[in-house]
Amino acid sequence: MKKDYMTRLERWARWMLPQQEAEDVIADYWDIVGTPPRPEEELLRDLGKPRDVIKPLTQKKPYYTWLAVFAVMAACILIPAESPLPLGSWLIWNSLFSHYGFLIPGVPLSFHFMALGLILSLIWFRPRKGEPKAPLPRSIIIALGVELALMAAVWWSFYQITLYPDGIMYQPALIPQWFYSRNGLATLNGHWMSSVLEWGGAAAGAVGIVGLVKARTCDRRWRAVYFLSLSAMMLAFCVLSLFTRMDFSADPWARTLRHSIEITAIGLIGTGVALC
Amino acid sequence: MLKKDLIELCLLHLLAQGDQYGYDLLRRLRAAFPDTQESNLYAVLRGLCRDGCLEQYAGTSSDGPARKYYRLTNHGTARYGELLKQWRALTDALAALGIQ
Repeated sequence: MKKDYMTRLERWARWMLPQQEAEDVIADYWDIVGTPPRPEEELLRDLGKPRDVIKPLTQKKPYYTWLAVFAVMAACILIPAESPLPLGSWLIWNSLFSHYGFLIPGVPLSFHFMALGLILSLIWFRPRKGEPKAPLPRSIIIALGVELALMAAVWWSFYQITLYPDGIMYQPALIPQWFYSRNGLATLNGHWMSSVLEWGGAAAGAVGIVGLVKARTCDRRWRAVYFLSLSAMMLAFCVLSLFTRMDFSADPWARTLRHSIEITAIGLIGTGVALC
Repeated sequence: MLKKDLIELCLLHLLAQGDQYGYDLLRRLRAAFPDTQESNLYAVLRGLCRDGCLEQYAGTSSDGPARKYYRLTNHGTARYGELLKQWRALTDALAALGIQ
């Protein structure tokens, strides 16, 4: 369905202009468009496309600052999201949960991405003075529910792995299966499980990017969806790292459990703060 | 003198005569510059506000919601004088060339 003229104009204004400026421009355009009410074709002729209407109002410095911040926040989710996929960077993947650390010894790279994403999103989308308190949109609740369901599924997967630590079997299957019967014993299908974690994590990353865009264009509380998606993705990859780990210097199960608990706790606390 | 400066001059001139409702300003300008889109006229108006030449305030309206009015600031008055001077110099130069 084609979005009506003002909906598109509002989105472009909120994307390209600072918050207060965007609200002023939107209020003025409601006035311009509504007196007298004009059909869409007439608006396109008299005013131009919504993007072209907003473009001349854009100030370079604040807009490019926003684009730079957006790029960093998006990178925090996109770089890890693609790291386990065929196109991904194995260097990043191997450092995501490495106990050797990357920038700070002992702190895995995943925590750096999470900290940067959380801090930037909290600062950039902070509440403004005199901002009206609106009820939480249903779409945010649904998106958070999806991410929480993904986190619960990852925890279930981890639990299954701990039940069968020596019974993971890599066998491609046409029909997705969680378990195989091998010599009369149930064994986990590592191939299927790792694919689900890999793509589940990447999907969480995609939802996170949607959250980021909507935090700018609709409601700043979408930052909670961005951050919970980042956490859900990291949790999925943390468990996935058990399948690809070549480092046996420490107990991988115990370390994965510790990281998973930390990621879940940071994710839930950060999401709670982001919803305020 | 660019077309943008001419639009600025017209806007400042209209406001020098008294405070005006934003949409009325745009409508009057559109009549003077029919080939220019309203959105471009509005961009000039916003630019003047951003530069501190104009300020907005909510006026009362007998019917419907409060309307936004624009008024000239001291900075805007100075800018108006400067553009008017440029405009007169330009018309004098054109007249010297025999263009009436």
